[in-house]
Amino acid sequence: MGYIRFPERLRHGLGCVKWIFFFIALLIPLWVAYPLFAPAVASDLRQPYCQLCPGNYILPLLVGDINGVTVNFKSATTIVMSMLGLIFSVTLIVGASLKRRFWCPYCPMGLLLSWYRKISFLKLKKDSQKCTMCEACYNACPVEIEQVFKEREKEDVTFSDCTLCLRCIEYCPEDDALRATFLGKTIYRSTSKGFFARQHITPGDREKK
Amino acid sequence: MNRKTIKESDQLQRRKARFAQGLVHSAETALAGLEDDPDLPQGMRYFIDVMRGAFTGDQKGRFSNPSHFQGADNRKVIGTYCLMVPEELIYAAGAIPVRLCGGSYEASSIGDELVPRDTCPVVKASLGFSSLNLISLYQRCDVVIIPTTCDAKRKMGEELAAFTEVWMLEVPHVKESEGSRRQWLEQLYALKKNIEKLTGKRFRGGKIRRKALDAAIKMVGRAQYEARRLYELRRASPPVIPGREAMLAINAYGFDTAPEWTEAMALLNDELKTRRREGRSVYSEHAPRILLAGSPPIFPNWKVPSLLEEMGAVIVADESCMGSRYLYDPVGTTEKSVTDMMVAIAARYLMPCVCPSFAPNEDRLYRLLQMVDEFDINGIVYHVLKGCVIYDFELIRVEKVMKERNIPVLRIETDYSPEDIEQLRTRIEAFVEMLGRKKSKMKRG
Repeated sequence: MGYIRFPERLRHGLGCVKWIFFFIALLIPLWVAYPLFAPAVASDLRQPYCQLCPGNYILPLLVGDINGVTVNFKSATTIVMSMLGLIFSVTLIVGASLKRRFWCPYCPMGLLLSWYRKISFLKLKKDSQKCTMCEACYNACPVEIEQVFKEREKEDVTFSDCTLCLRCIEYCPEDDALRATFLGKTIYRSTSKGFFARQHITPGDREKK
Repeated sequence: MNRKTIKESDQLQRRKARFAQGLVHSAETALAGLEDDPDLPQGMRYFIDVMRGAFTGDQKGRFSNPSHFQGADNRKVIGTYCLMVPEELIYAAGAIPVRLCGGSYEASSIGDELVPRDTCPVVKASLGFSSLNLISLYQRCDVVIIPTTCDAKRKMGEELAAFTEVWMLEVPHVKESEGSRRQWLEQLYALKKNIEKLTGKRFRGGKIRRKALDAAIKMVGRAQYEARRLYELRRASPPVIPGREAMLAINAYGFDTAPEWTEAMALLNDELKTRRREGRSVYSEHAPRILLAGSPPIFPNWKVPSLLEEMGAVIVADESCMGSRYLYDPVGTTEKSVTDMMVAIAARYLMPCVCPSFAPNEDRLYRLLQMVDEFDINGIVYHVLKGCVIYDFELIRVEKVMKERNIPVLRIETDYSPEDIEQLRTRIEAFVEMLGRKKSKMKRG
């Protein structure tokens, strides 16, 4: 069975989801700290992001504690939050087995970090002339970034969802078309030879020796 | 294939005999031109034999011996046109792909009567071959797959249906959009099913399995690896192999099976590698380095490559669907499931392909610029087969970007007929001379 890839339109539509989580993670805690209105609701929210976090429900299971996997009936707020948390837990378990990096495109942390990508030490760079637009990097990309192979102008192709896993470089069959730089110094680059060895088409250097 | 014995009139018989004679003659002339090379690499012999077998009925050739494919082996043979037909699917189903794009003058003059006057000679020759049904390469095909690339190829599908079973493969022409890529993937799934139906009885379940597909991808991948090695070796300065020979070796892939071809190509590459190490070259360092772009020269139409190298230039690179582009882009599988492999195959046969039937086709300009840099090109010969509008169209853009780089471009419009050979010789001679002067001036300056 292969991995699912969402169609482009759906991916675009889901783009707002990370902003919602960002709001939950950063702005609601402010309201909890300074409950200017509806203080009852605010106090039960505590750390809203942690109440939704699937880790809250899944991790205790690992040590055999099943008490956490219930709806918390303490108040209306906790009922809603714990139910949402349970839904997230199930979605995540199912999603993770169907799709690579199921959660990453919606992670508020990724959104936060993406604002600093301009000054990042580690960067993904592309030589447009060497690129044959073969789409191999897109098929290899766990967060499905299309722009890397479509980009024809810019050299810097570190896009906002990029986790810098460098799988695209691994799967690029062109010499030097893609490379990773650390403080401007190339630390990893795509090679034709490496591609054929990693695809097990030719024996790799290690196997030869 | 229609195997009905049709009562043939004397006239047709005579015509067939004349055709066979002419074809053998022109193929032998082209091959003799290669064999005359005193520096011919030993590894080239195999590819010359493959061509001889395919076009002159020589017994050494794989396709002249019917028992090899349908008697003893009973494997299905699938004819393909263009380079968008995934060979991996054909090999995975236990069948053999054969590239049928025609390059024979004799066949094109027979096809002349079957199509409008302005059709390109590739289509004329392909139809000519199929209508006469003489060459075993065409006889042996159980089915023919035609991608809908240019207008001529598309309409050829309709005409060919009179002689053989034809499957059309719809290629989207705007490859950037996600919709067209999805549609292409669906087309390939449909093709997979058809191939399974054709060969189904031969293996368990009648389906292309994961392991078979993976093995086929690797098999074609090895051929591509060797083709890329040749591509790399041709970058050497001074050159280690004449372009007309390297192009013939790649061209022979279409008429051979992948494992045999790969083996022969590995030997040739090893030989050329030794040559490069020893600094042995077939040309002087002053010979102008040419990139042959545009319409594909298909064997036995070796007119332009031979003329160019006769005049002292060397074709170090070619950008044609029967040459370097044929085996350049590999399939990059990320997971070993059928779904992922199909996605990777679909990507490989659509996205990096720079056939001018796609629009927009800016990728081709990038590819040409990259080749100019990689191969240290002095000039481009842009081959346009009469009637091939799309390649001619792109010349405008190619000339524009090459002007910025100060790379001269010579447009040569011709067909398969030998009539204009002297006229071409004069033009090519002048072009090569001009490049040679420019090159030595740059060396001195």
